[in-house]
Amino acid sequence: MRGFGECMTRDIPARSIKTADGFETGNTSHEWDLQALKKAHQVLAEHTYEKKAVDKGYAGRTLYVNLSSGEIREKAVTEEMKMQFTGGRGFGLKLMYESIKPTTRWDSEENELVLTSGSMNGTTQYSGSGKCHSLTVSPLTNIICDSNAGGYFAPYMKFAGFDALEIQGKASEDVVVFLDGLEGKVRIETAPLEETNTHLLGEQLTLLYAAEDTEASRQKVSVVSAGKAAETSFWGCLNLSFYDPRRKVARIKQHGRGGLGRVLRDKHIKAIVVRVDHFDGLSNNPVDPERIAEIGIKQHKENRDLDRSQSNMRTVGTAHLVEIMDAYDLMPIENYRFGTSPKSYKLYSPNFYPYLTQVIPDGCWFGCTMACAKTADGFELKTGPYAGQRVTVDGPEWETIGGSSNMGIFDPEQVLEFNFYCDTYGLDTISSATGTAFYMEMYEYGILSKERCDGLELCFGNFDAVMEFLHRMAAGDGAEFVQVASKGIRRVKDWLIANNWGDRQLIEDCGMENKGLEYSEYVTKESLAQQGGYGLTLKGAQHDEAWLIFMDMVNNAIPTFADKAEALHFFPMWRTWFSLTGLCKLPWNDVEPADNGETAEPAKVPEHLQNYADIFSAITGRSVTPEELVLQSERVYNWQRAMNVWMGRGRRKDDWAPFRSMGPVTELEYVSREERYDKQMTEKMGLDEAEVAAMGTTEKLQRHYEFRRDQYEKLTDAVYYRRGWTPNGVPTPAKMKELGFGKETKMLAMLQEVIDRDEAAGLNAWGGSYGKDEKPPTDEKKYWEKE
Amino acid sequence: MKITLNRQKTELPGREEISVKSLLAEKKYVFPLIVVRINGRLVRKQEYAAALIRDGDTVDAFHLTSGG
Repeated sequence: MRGFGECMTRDIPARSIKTADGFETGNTSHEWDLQALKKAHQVLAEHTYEKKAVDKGYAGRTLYVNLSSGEIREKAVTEEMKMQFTGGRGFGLKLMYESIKPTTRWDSEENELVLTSGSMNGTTQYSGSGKCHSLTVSPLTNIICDSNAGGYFAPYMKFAGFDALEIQGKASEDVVVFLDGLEGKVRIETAPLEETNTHLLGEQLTLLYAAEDTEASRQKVSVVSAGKAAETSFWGCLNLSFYDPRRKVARIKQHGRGGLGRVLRDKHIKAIVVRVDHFDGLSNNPVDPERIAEIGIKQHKENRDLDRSQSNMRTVGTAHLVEIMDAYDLMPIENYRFGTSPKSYKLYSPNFYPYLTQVIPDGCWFGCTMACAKTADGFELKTGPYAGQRVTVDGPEWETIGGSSNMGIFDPEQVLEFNFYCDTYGLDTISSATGTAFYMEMYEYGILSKERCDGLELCFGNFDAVMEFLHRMAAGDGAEFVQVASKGIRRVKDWLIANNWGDRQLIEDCGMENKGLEYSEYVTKESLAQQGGYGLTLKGAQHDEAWLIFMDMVNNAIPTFADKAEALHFFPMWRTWFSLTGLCKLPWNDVEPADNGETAEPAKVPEHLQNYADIFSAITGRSVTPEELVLQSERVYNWQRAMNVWMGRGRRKDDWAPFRSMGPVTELEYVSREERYDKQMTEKMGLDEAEVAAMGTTEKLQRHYEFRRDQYEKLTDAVYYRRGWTPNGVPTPAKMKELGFGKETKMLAMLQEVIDRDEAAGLNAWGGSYGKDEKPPTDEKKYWEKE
Repeated sequence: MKITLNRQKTELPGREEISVKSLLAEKKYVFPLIVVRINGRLVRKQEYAAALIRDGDTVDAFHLTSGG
């Protein structure tokens, strides 16, 4: 399986779990004493609410739960709120702004965990309409982090009666927050006896809260949980369940990024459970259901007819990206030092075929024909507390596979084992892998050692050590390394530097975090635009705002800083919109109309943009154009940036990126791509060939360092200007007023105060060094003072 | 021959012409979602083997975005 062509054409029989009686996963079964579990529950607080139908995509209210006081109440969703914040993550930001303080940190009493739906969420006629977008003040970044996942929770929450669930305070013992759409009740209940790890807890609570002992009833329950490792690690994720009646498994999707699972467990929430009554394709009460069906059918046909040749999502999910990323030198190998490896082929997607059972439809929400949610069923675990048991592993997604190669792991079974334990322990596979890859590089350089790692031999490729690290995190191991390392790269950098164990610059350059959030799994050295796509983000280094590598590195379609800035305006604004409406990004551009290439702007997939505008109009009755959708996002995007500023961040220094994301840090990296880098010195940096030939590698590295850092600063200048921010990254009051926030006087005053302070400190200045033939984005002095 | 490929001057030594199919293979452009234009004219996938690129041509092999 070494060639890309083989990956797309090889006809490998699907693994089936179909039997004469139905389906059989081969998983280890469990016997639970559900009566005993239930009997141990004690109701701490209860609220009865009026059951109401959803109207034009909105439930019309949000739910507030305070775990400290037991207060449970409803909040109205106003028309103004819909116009300013649209829904989903927008509502979440508004709710948090009204409830937290600028000084709120992840473990503060007033920090909130907000789970949101969205006006298009729960649609069953168009693919990818089941996403939940959630927010909290992140333990990794100390600002608001949003994360998204599929599964049934968000649509069920809306159909149970609420556009968002806002949880504040902390319980004094482990609880379940139960939203019962069947009875119209919300309860906080103690849950002392249930398991904590997701694969067991999800099963227990699905059985416990199902209205009847039927598959149909179990399918109407969704559970949000984390796991044992989320009790200590800042990489804690949330798992959102969707019960699969064919496999008889409570399958899961993850809110991976930003430590939401750590906040869940800090609040002593064991799980959040929702149960719904009846729902169907019209439960959103759209104004024009026929139009939605018409658009949906066309898109379903695209998935059916084009997926195999375009993406192969229906067979292997996002794992189809492995062979592509490897071919373009973008697959992270050994902490992003390299973009390909002679061993990469072992992880090409067909090597996962033998493990993935195909039971179509395999979507994580009803009606999604992209159907990319894959599982390995009956997978026998080799390590840890569940060794020898057979389980369902959800995934692996591309990011988990890329994270594995980043740690030097190239065995599909080891990827699946890592994937399973991260999920059930409540750990983000991305941060866990990227973090561990950094520790491995530090180990290789002697900055870390077996002694400093409390006995862990964290060499690249040492799968046993990786698993031991996970198991020790989950066991609450108090050893210093396990404790610090489980808090993420930023804390480890500070720890290594404080102990004077290595060169500060090397440590800062190699550790792939931005704002405290670990990078996801793409090598960005040759795409300046994508360096910005990671660094110039709201929450930290996640690729969900923009993925511009092909457009920039291969197509050369955005050659100037202004071009790149335009892309870093449009794509983040557009992609934010999915989080406002409860949608998945994948159906937008992972399968495209057959004639998309013939359009003027194929990268935007114009037909699909129009689909979204038409469906939004058909659900809400508000007639909108694609441009207006981007404006909806721009409002929320700027509001979140303003909140970052309010919380003391959201400035140029916070958009700093590690040099590993920009270019070669070490001589080994340089030499591995010497021809490329030497050529860049003549073609991009203006040096002559003789000059380059006379340089040693150390000097070449230094030249690249200076050049590429300056390029990043110039990109930052251009992006800030395009977004309507000051040269220090602060949204201007004029921009906020233009977006409709003129009445938000406190926010506007705060922004002006920060801008004035920056001015006094000389921080309202361009970051790039502009030569005589170069110009900053504008000559206009103090452009940010314009009303 | 010399062509402009994705806005970059590109040399293909020892050739007088090359098919789109061969060019994509030579450049290792294996991504499935590529739109090819020769001097602005769209080349459909079924034409890749027959469509020829000649010296001085401007070729766009535009990789659409998926993933991410």
